[in-house]
Amino acid sequence: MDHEQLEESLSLYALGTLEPNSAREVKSHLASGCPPCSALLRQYQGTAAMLPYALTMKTPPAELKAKIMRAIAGQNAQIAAPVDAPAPAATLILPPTKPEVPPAKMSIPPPPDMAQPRAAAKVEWEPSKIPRQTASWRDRPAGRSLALAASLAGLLLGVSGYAYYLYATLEAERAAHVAGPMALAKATLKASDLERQLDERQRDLSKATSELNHAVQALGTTHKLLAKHQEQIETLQATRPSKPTEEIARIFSSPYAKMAPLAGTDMAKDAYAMVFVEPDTRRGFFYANNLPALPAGKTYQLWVITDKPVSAGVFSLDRGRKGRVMLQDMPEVGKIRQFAVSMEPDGGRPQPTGSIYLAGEL
Amino acid sequence: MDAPIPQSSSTVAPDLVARVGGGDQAAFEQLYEQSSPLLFILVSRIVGNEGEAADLLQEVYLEVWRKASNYDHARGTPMAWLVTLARSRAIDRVRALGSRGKGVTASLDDTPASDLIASNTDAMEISAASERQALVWAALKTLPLVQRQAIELAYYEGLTHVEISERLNVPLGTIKTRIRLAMEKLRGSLQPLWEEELGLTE
Repeated sequence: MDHEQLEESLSLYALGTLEPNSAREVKSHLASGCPPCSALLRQYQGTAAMLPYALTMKTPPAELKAKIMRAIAGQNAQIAAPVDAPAPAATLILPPTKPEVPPAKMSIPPPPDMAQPRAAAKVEWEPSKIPRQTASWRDRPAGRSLALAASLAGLLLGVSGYAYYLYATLEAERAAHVAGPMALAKATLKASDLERQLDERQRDLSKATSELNHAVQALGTTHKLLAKHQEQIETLQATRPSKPTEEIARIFSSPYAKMAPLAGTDMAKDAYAMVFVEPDTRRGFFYANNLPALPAGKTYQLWVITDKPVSAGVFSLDRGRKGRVMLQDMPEVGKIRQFAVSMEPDGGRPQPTGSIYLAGEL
Repeated sequence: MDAPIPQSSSTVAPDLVARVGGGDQAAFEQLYEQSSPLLFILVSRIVGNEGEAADLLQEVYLEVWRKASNYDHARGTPMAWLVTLARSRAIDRVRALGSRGKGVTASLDDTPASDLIASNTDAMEISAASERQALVWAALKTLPLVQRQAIELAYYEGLTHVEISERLNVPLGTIKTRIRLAMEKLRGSLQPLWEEELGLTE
């Protein structure tokens, strides 16, 4: 290849689409030192590096990260271990590996009492205190049901623990006093007493169990209510006027938003722009790039063209030659035929008077 | 040149790569967070399925960990380096298997607005990252259809221009010209983006 051909191949080389032989030729030309080609290649490489951004980014599965982090931690250990392998100094001072502890996620925010259950769960294990409390609990407001459930769980443990204690005592007594008839009579008396107590505790236990079931049901209702509130909040958030960044993010992520690319006309060949419009809210966002700098006293004006052009706002450019317009009260999406941008005197005009710089269809 | 470039979830600062080269695992983790959503979708698209893409990315990141100290900022941005590495490993794998995934021929036309957004970033990041996405998408969209098709086959599917010519049954010279014209146009239209990426803006 001669130099012109080499230079022409740079964009293909940057894309990685050259045949291996040609690629080698370009590579050796660059290696031999050709500043103009190197500079141009960098620009093409920068351009190529932008191409993936047109795709929908997607976070890889979490276990991939865990696997990779484990693997590099392992490799570092291997590097650091052998004495004869001169490891780079930095790898010897290993920062501690971050433990992979994903935060517990709850789809529904916990009720305010969530902070309490541990304290509440410390129900006294003294049997005398167990049953009496249960009656009044039913009337507690549903919002406290989590704490209630925790208390009941503790209570249940208490009751069943005590029941088991009684049972074990009973068995021990029986075993210990099989010897004499007197002792046997005494033991039988004591045993029947214990059995009565056991019955009583078992009744308490089943009562507590049913209390717990009620509480669990109440908890379910509370969660449903919370989910409903959450939904209402989200609906409200979606309809309230928001800050531009939130608005842009919302429109970008709306599954209903329509997009239109606008291409630069002969006035601005490198310029391009896009319009997002959300049909139901008739709000949208316009974003332009690479428009020529504005002369003093001029502004760009965006037009929505239905049967005639209607102004959608004026804009100037920021330092990066980008222009943005938040759109609202747009015409019905089905009626929009085109978008266009013209240069107009400051403040804009009711109808386009200047040259058209960008145009595109929805 | 030294002005701070706003870092979104999809750009990687050169000094971060330098720290990774020095064996800093926390820096590596950050690099992974910032680059993997982009590399994952790119590689998935080339190899044609996500399971294999994840498998391949593991190799790619281990290579990044080993080779980060060789990275030379003068030869391209960190993201360009990562993208090039991931792409070439993905293309190698596809060639080695002698097969291509089935999902890879989908055109950018099929990408709805809602897909042009990273779902795991906060509002500020969303607008920075999706602004870039929107611009790249728009730049591609405004290319003549045949040029865009050539770019898609070359870049997102990793075909060589000979393969594209065979696939489309169009003369080789025509394909080369289409790609060249498209890249020339993109170089112009994406200039603010790659300048920012290369740290050339004030």
